[in-house]
Amino acid sequence: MKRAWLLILPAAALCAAAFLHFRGEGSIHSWTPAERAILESLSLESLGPPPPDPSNGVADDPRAVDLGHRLFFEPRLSSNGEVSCATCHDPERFFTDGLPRGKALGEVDRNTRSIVGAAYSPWLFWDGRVDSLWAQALDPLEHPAEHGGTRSHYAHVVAEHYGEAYEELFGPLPDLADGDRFPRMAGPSGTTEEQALWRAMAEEDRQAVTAVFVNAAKAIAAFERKILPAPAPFDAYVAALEGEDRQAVGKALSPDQVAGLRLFLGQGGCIQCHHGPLFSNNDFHNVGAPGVEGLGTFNGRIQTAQDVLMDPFNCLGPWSDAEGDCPELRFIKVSGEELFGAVRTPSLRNVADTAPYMSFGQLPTLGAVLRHYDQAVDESPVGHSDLLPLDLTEEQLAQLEAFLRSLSGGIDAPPELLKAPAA
Amino acid sequence: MAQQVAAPSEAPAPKAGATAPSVRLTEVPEDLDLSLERLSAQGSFLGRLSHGEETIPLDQLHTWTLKLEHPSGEPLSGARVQVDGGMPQHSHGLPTQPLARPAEVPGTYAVEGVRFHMRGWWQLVFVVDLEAGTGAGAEVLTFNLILE
Repeated sequence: MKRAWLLILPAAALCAAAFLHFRGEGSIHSWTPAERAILESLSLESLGPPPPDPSNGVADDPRAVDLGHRLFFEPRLSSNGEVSCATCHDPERFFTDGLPRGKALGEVDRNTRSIVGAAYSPWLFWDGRVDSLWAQALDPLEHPAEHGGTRSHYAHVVAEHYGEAYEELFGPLPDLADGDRFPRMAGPSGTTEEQALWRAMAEEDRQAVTAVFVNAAKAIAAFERKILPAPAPFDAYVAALEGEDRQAVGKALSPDQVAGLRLFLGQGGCIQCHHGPLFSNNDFHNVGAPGVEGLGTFNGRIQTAQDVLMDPFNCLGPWSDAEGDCPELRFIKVSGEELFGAVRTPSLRNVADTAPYMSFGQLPTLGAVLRHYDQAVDESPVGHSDLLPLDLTEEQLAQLEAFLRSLSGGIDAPPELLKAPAA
Repeated sequence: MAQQVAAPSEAPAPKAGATAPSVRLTEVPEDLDLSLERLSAQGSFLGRLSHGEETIPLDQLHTWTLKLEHPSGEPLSGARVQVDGGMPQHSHGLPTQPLARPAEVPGTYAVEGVRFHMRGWWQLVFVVDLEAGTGAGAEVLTFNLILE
């Protein structure tokens, strides 16, 4: 029996019968029903609300969104009082920084990923080393090149400046007034002195501090869940096709952009990994991008699949609210040649506005990225590239780039969340 | 079925942590058997794979049902079933590690944690250990799926 399976995309109940044929054989806007179904699946109309995060009990609490908004822009959450999450995740730059690699207290060794739509991914960071937005938020806070502080410092900042909002959400804060029990700067990954002070603390005091640290990150995650992509010209194009609005179809995308879209679905093969309304499968692939001298070996998913299982801040850990409801960890793949050097597929929403590209920011422009995919030279220092050469012409590469520019629509979020809160 | 082809002589030397790549097929074989009812590799048992829906979700964890039968038609219960698979054209396996556990109906196994993250030709491969734990009776059962 020959049988092919139709796919249904998350949050998008596709009904082929609903797609009306656009009149005009041979028109650049003429798409087959199968192509129309794919176009519909790529539209933001198909994007439902972010999936629930059982590991975060306040993920959808408006009070947590408000607290998380304030914490996201709070520079006191750093060792020098000058670095906030917004330092690298700048709302003016679609929550990226425009740099090859993030710069805060020092330069980090990865390109800053946007948080727009991040709530839809089961894994975070380029290598997927954490499994929730809140676990992601914890990492840079204690990284010496990023916020550079300690969890003890952060607990003090939260207690001193956000005590009321915190306690309304999470219950009573520990009494941190005793400086001997709760040193100002103590944590498991700080300086030697900070680590020594952390080890000298009573276990229950360490737990109390870590709880505040984790809860602050859960509030930040609640804020980040509100940062979504806004409709772009591409979405207007799909809506116009559905409505058989010939004039709007012609206006939404240029002929070059439509040709680029056709390449995106066809010869370019981009759709294989960049699909769904966020243009990402959120999975891991080695795309043969070159390494950067001095940054060390980046093993990608083969390393982090093990790391995330050991992470005390994972969905199954003691700080999670999931109570064992963690299917991603249950079915995680931890071995396989294809995981060497594999990184998580980024969303292409607003991609033209978030240069430079790739995990080290090593490709400066969309043109450079497309040329890399076209030639498919395997420059990956670890493992093997998944790519095959595309043999596209210069004109086709320009068309693909034009199409990618049609995915810029900005951010869909309450405007007050896109700037620092009033003091 | 996927055919493994030796790496061409001009291929770069394998890098740390991985074996030499195989050349990928670019076409799905015309005679690819897409039946969801297949005999095991040595013909010792029959397997039926079902999903329960006409469509399957892309990028989402979901469950299949595998039913195993002896040639006599008796349900094959108590086997240890390991799940493997991948995309022969892309030289990669499944993006998750699905697990098969015995379901209520004798001879049926719930195959949980399957995720397809690309369209195209997939294989689901079940390694069925008839004498659970010994490995003595392990036999392979392969299903082809085309997702479009």
